Amino acid sequence: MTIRSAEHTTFVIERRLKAPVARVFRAWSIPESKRQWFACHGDWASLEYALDFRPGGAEKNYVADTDGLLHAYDAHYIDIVPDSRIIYAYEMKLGETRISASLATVAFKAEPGDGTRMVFTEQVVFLDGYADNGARLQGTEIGLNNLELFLERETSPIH
Amino acid sequence: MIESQVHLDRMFHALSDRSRRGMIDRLGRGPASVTELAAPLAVALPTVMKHLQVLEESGLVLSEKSGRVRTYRLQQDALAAVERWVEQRKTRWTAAFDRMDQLLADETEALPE
Repeated sequence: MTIRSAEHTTFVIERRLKAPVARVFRAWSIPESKRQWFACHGDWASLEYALDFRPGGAEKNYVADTDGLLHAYDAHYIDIVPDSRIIYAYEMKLGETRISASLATVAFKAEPGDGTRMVFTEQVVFLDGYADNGARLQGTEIGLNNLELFLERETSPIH
Repeated sequence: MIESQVHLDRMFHALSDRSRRGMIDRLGRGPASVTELAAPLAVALPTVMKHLQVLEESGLVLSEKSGRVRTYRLQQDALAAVERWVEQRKTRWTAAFDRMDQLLADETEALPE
């Protein structure tokens, strides 16, 4: 039986990129460019990718993981200000199960020396205890140790 | 401010009882059903349920019903789950942004000076 839950949270990822804003914006707006960095998932099989980059436009990225399970990303663009910001809503499904719904805001700002500061903010609702890796993460599997692990990971830089 | 004081009152009230502290101890080792929580206590099931209700209202524990079994767990476990989901999603985005970074760097190399 499915346990219904909706857990809200917000996270922010900030990056400094060594390219001017116009080029960074193109990496988001031109389907072929975005597909290259967004839709490639290593040994996951890409099934379908499409991007209609305009307010009201849609984006989809369907991939199959190594177990053959479908990971479906469907987005809807809400607000686009060239070289400045992008706001879109997206949902993630595992097979037929919707696992999350999000509002994402990407803000771009020119930095001295032809660089760009990019701030990605995602407001997300995780649904019914599912996570992106396909595993069901219910309380029984998660001890307090995980919080400790998470805190350890957080203090060591990712890259 | 007043709201947070009410919250503290509830939490301290919840912790003021030895049986309830025992239940929190037990839940610290992992989620448990009402029956499992009642087992070490020499009290009737309705009393156990009352204690659990106090704990849940205090925000210290959460419960979920699956079929006929209601399972209790510490609130912290729920937080840990969300942290893990966020961590996973952040890892995905970070990997994607790394690829974007690389793509932009490759483009830069391809551009005429």
